[in-house]
Amino acid sequence: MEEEFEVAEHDGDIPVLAVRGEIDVSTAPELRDRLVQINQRGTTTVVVDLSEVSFLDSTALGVLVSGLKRFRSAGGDLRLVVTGRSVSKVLEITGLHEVFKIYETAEAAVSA
Amino acid sequence: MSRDLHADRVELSIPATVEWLLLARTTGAAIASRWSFTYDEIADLKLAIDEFCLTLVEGPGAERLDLAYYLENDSLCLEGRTVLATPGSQAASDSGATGAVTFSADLSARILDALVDEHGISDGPGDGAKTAWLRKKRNPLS
Repeated sequence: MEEEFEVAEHDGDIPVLAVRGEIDVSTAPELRDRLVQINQRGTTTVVVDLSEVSFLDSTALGVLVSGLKRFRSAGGDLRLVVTGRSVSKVLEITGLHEVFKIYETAEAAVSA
Repeated sequence: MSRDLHADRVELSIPATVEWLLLARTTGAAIASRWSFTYDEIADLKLAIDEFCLTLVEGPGAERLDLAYYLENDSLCLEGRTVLATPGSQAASDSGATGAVTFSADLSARILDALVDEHGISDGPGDGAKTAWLRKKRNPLS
């Protein structure tokens, strides 16, 4: 049984989007829409917590990269929380681990 | 006498829409598990099969995706081909089956290069159809 996809937003000076489940071509649009909504509120920095993500493909990476561009062009950043091997491996394969700022906990990402 | 599962070939035909790619990769993972691939190899295969299918269904016109999984020379092999919509039937999407998010062929190719031993894609049979294959060798110690 696959884990259900879920995106929950935790408010704060820097909002945290906690994602659970598998991010693929069918679920990535929801993550993209949440990032766009946060950006349109005038927020310049966001944390995307991927510690409960069990699968992430190239379309999910595309959403994260476009989100990163959006937030950085507004003078802020999109920070990632990554703890799982499957997610860190995809980031390393594609070289994106050198593009994103990656943290081990949401607290560390928020306070960075 | 037990059946030789390694001699089996598994075929799957799914609609060429994004909602069904989950079935393609979980089927591949289940088959790899039955063929004694390691946990890490199965995780790699899940992602590789997802990218493989994305590459096939990306672009307009495909109605179905036919997949065949089999074991050959200690490798899991996957062959896939798109079946185009026939006149009067409903293609997956006019703008491509990946629809709402942008497909990055470059990222997808980088992932496939890193995770499998061999992969490729070619046009045909027929205008607009695509055929693709991949092979991932099992760790000899598993």
